[in-house]
Amino acid sequence: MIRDASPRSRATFRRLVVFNLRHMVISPVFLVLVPSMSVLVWMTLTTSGLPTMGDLFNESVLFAAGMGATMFAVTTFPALREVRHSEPLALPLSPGARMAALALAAITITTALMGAFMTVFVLTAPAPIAGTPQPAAFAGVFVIGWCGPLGAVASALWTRSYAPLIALGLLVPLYLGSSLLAMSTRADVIVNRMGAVFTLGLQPLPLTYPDTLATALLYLTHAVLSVLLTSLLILAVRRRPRFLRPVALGAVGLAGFCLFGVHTHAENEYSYDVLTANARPRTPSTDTCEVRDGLTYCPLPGYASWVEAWHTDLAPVLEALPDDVPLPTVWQANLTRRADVMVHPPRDGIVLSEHWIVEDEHYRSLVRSELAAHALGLPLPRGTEYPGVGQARTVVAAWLVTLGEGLDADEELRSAEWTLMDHGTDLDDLRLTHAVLSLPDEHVAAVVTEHWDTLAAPETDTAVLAERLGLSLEGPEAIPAPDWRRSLFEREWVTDEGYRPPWGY
Amino acid sequence: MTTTSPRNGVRARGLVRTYGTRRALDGVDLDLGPGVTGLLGRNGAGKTTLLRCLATDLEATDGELSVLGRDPERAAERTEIRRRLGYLPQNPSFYPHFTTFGLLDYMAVLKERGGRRERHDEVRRALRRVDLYDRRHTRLRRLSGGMRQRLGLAAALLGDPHLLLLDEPTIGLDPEQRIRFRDLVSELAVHSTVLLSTHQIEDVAALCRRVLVLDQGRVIFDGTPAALIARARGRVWEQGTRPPRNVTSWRLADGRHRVLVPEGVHNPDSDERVPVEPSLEDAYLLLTGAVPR
Repeated sequence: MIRDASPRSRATFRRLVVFNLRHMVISPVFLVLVPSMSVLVWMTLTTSGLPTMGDLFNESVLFAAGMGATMFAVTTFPALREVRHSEPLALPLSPGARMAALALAAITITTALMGAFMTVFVLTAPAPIAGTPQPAAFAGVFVIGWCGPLGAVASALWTRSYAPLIALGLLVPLYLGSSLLAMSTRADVIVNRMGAVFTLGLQPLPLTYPDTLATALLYLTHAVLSVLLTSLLILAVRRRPRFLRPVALGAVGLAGFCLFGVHTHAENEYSYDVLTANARPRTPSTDTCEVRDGLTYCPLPGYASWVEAWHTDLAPVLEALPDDVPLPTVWQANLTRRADVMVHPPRDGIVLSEHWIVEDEHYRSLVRSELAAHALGLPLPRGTEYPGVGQARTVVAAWLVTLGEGLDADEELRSAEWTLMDHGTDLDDLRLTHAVLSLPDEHVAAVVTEHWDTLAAPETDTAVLAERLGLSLEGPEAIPAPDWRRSLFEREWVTDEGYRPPWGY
Repeated sequence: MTTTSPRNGVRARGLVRTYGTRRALDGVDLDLGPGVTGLLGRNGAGKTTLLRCLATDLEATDGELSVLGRDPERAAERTEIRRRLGYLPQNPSFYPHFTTFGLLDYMAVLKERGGRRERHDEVRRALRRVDLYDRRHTRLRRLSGGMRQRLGLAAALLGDPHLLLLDEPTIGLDPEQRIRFRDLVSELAVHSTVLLSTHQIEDVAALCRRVLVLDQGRVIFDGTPAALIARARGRVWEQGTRPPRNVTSWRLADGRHRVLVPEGVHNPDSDERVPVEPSLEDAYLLLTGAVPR
């Protein structure tokens, strides 16, 4: 680009980069669009108490797309200054070098913005980011962000007009507007497909987060090839020197072919079907596991903070269990890399998906429910029909599930009833569960610990538990009917013989 | 390109530039040194093409050209020429979103004018030279045509160029600014070579020690303004009656006619016909055969 690469020309090039940097950063377009886009992306962040590298990656990709579009707008103006206004001035630095200086300045700004975003994300995260960082994957995200300013340079060279910027300015609101208007209409399909194309552009590979070196390198290669393709197109549309056009067009073809190859390879190696087909069973010997209060956790690499957070919720349940109760192993699963535990679920294990959010009471009660079921020997409900109806251990499991951290009365009832739904229930089970929840936890815990062997036995019915707790299911002192207004159940679900709930467990 | 020019001059031999089949420059021979040279010619005579070739913005189709002792066809030498060149193109189109200071700062960066402080000092000086310092924060889109022209001149003057090529620099300038412009260019021409392409003959008369007249891509006159005027002596008249159609003439404010009689054309005798001292404009019009009727 700098044909006469004398120290003087290099110094001029550097000064021009700095000049462009300063002018872009103080331009009204930058001052309006960058904060707006940052706020918009920040508002759409999926906040989690346990953010993962996948979260950071996905949010960074979204930010890269937003900032790429913003920097496209910011860079278009000085790019047109170069192609429209500066070419005939016969200046020492060639038009190509001037454009390269502009592109470098714009890329520097984009990189700084994206770096700032990632830094703020990490620094404001409520816990250390879980997972193994893959620098190559994040380098790929930076490269995606660079497509914006490089695209502006390319479109300015190509069209010498503001038309691409106007098109982008119209397209984004049009897309957002049509997304809203098309909801619940047939046009929704078109909008969804547009969205799919957009997503494919940002994350073209079948990897939610490239969390191994191999997948990260694949992602980076894809991003670099995309930028290379854009850059070669810039060269191809330039008129001088003439020999460059066929060379650039040939290179565009080659880069396109390589890009296609990367796609094909990714599809062949990392699609869901391939991952599940290649899944291998996990054992404590293949993983780094950690024992907390007798419970073994086998997290994915880098997920130490995850163990602490989930254990905080499970600890009260463990405390209520007798010491000699056999406990399951808690496995963490990740669909992209470890389909293993999903495809080969371990017998005495609880499988926690990476995507389960610890703040979400639904997921927390699911895990507590599985722990309680394992402790009480309740068969896992999936694929079985009402294995726990009328059994004392079902109600005990429902009570154990309510021992999670910081639950209010409604959440306790909901958690208990979800457990009843999993294992099946009748009216007595439901009445007793409501009554147990109104008793002090210390009293219930003492009875459960003292009579654990009896209550955990499948043949022990609900009446036994009621009696041990000093309650009665029949007679003048009988427990009242459940409060149907607060309950997730409806009367006929537990009173009609042969009734099956609509969700059909 | 074997010809060489002095380190602060221009030399062209048989310079040709074609656009398709049209020859905009048709064998121009030229030697320029320090001082102001006026470049006159009708529209389409090839003035702008010549300036663009000298400014290395356009490649010559044929001929030999040396600018400031360097060959503009060689990339490295072209860069050296551009480092020492001040070029104001015709109707310069500057980026409208710049402020006047921003534009000159940008141009100063591109003209390799040192560090930031040094550069900004020079930009302020240039703005003062063209009387635009008070407008340094004004965006270009808010400037009048004359102000933009002065700004273009300031941009061309940045870095005290050895060769200054000015294409119609005084268009849109008011009389006061034109006087200032002449003063500025005269000052520069002490050490630099200035080629001034213009239709403002009075600027040439006031500034130039030498005049080139181009017609259909050829140099048809190369000499001093006095020599050009001398060629017209005895062929400029003022008279009360309208002259024949084949003679260049125009009506004056007092109702009389100024008549330019080309060589070989007969202007019939008239009692009230008075010979007058030709101006540079008369001489130019006689040379190019322009008929302003």
